[in-house]
Amino acid sequence: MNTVIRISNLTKTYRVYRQRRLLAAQPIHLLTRHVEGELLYALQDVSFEVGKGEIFGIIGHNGSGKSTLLKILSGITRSDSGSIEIQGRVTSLLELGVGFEQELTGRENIYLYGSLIGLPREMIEEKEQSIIKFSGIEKFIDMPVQSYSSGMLIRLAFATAVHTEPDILLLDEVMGVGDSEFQHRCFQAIQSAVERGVTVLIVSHGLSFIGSFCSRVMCLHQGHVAAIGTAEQVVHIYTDSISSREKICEISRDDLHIQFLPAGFHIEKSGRILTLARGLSVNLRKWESDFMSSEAAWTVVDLKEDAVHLRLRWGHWNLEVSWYIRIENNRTINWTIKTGRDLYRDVDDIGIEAMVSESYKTYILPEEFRDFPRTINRGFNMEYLLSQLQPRRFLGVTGSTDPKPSLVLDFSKCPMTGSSMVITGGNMMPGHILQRMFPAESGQDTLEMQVKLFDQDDLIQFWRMHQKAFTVESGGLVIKLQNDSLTLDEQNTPLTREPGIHVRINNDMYSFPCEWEVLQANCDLQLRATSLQLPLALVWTFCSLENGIRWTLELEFLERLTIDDIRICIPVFSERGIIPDIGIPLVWDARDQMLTATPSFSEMSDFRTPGKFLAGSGIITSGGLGNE
Amino acid sequence: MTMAIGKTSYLHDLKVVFSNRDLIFSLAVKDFKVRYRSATLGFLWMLLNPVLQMLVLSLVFSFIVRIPVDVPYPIFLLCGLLPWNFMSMTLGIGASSLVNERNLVKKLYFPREIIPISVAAGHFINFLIALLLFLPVPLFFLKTWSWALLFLPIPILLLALFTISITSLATLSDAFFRDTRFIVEALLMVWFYATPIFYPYSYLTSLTGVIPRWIMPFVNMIRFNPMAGIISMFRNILLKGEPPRLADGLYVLIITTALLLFSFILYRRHGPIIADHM
Repeated sequence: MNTVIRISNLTKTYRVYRQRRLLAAQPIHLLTRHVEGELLYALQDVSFEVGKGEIFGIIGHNGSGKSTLLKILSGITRSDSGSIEIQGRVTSLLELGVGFEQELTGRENIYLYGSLIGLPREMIEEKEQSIIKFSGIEKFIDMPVQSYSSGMLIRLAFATAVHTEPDILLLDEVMGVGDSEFQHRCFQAIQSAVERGVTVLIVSHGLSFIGSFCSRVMCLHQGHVAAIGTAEQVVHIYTDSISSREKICEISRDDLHIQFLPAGFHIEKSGRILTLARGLSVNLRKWESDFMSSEAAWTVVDLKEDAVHLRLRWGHWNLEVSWYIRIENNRTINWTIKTGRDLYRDVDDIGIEAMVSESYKTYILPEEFRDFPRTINRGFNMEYLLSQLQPRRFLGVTGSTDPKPSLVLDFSKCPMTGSSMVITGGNMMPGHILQRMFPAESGQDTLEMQVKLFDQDDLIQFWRMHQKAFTVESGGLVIKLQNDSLTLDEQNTPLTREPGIHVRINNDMYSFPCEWEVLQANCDLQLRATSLQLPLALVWTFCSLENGIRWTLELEFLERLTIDDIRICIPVFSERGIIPDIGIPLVWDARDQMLTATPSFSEMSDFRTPGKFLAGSGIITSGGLGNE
Repeated sequence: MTMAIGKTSYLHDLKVVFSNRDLIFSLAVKDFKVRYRSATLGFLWMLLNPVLQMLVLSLVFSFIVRIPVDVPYPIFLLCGLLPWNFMSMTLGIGASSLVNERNLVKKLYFPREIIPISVAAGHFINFLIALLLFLPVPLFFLKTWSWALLFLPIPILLLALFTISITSLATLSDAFFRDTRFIVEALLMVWFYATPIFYPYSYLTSLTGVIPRWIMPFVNMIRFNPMAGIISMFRNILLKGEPPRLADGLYVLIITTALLLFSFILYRRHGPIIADHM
């Protein structure tokens, strides 16, 4: 083998500074040899060789040192010790689109980018035509890049990089972009470059891609070389390493067993593991970066037979959360996350995630059960089945082929903000992911959740109870709270449309977003909606009567509030021409296609003081419905 | 080519910087184009700014506060203002340039000193155009046509090298300590008054006995200001039609060489880890 890259005993450390560094203090530190910050090993004693014409893949978890390694090889940063021998010219493509200037034209950018990756001007002139041809954007080449779509920009960047005729090409996670036709062309370009004797190093998360493309693969783990070998061997070791890392602690009760690994916790019920890979975990999002629980340092603060208090710390970012996990009974696990308000100042979102086994065939939402697609996309991308939609009160999975209990993440006690996601994995991650994101604005410093395990019957009961608890019916009339919206149905036909019956104050649709709470749900239903924007809460009471449903609306002012206008709004399907009778006079609002009612309050000034006021009441009857 | 860590010679590193002249040029042209492309008046601003500045300062110092000079005040002023503007704008903008270009620095390899050098190169184009347009003014009004004009490249070159050296140092310092840009801002404000731009150097000697005694040592320190030397060279050539004083040239040359060497050594040592601090 004709070796072109020979790396031996490469070590790279970073200093991580907790506080701001003071310029004035530096000369003093130099004299006293004081060293600030903590030492973090990004790479430790890494050695490997790459032969000419190889396609060498590098895989590893986030933070395992892959990108640092490519940065050192391309000269962007320097290692602390060890030796690097590289024969030939190196071109690196660590991020597509870097070095492109929005206001310059495509052609000008070819020259700019070309010179940034070290090409002499004459060579760019010579290659200009073939670069433009490869990118396939001849028509737009003299237009400013800011008018390009991201796809076009990527084409141009890649075209320039592969035409530089490097001896060694370093690629970091850049192959997953662009449409499939262009991707195919990129693969071909790399293949033909390799045939010409170019050596390629690729960092990627896409295991199937690495597997089919690379002749040899190296797996990095926490800065060490975990394995080097054929793609098949190393990919296998990599997937194993996710779930078989050393255990932190475990708690159990009866046949329910919870195991904590550095990535998250795994639930084992009657000897069957329900979760996989990271298990149940938390990740914090700050700017665009994710801080996963797998990257945190875990401390066991307090460990009992069936409960544990853990502290997770992302050292170099000074972020910390506490987990309190207790097995309530052999079907319920209480999971509380305390963040502290300080933390919410530093992060944008908190994400709660459960990675569950592939054997579950159905996912559960408060509104319905849905099957995972049977033909799972076997590409290296994951498929988002439910994404960025409104927050759900619970998420779950059921229908496991081997008898595993259904698993439900119950967020009833959490604020109804953020989003819910259901993801099904491709090759990269066989299994499904349930996710809830809580945005930082909610300002909540405690998230209380429950993980519930159900048999089929219990599950249906739980689900029905959640449905029933929010429903009052009489005759064919049904008042329902579903997904934070209050709707009215008659004979299974919805009378109201999105966003449901609501209250507007000062002409703002104030009741959205608000936090709903079920106060009472026996013969009648009492709901309390606390606004997230105004110091105000609504209390709706619905009571089933023989001839209809009695409703009462009370307003609770938590603070002094100036109100000029207040209306109960009922958006209806105007084309159906059906007007519900709620027992008080309604006015048609043509602009918003809805009915409004102004409550008959005795004195407007009364609302300016905190307190509870009756806003109106009436009886919804089906007899009063008619066409108009 | 075989690359091994920490085994390159000084000469090799210098060659690498020099071999990147295409990149310096590309970046400078990019800055230039981006700066003026979207403005309606385009690169006219490059000329309008010093003219406006000259008008305001001329008004102040020839009518309100009188500073005696033996040539028309606007010409005298512009002679110092053009070199000063080049230096101060390069330093002011250049100080934060590595951090501003952090996307490039984090994702691409090139010698890091290229960035401040390219900022200087971009402003140097500005400076040269402004100088060329201004040059006929003193030559025509003051009739200073002479063989001394042949010396003009010397102060231009020294100014460019001095600007590059000081900007490179500020940029490197800023990459590690972000306070530097603010220090530079403050420094530039003081430096403007400590440089004989709107007053002749002789004006300072006339202050003896007029101002309190304890201020005099500070005033005398202006003697060691390299920008004073550079501007004095420009004035000798353009306003008097005389060759620059050897003492000025030598002093600036020594300072500039020392600063250049110092910054080259610092970049050799710390340049490769700048990306870690972005």
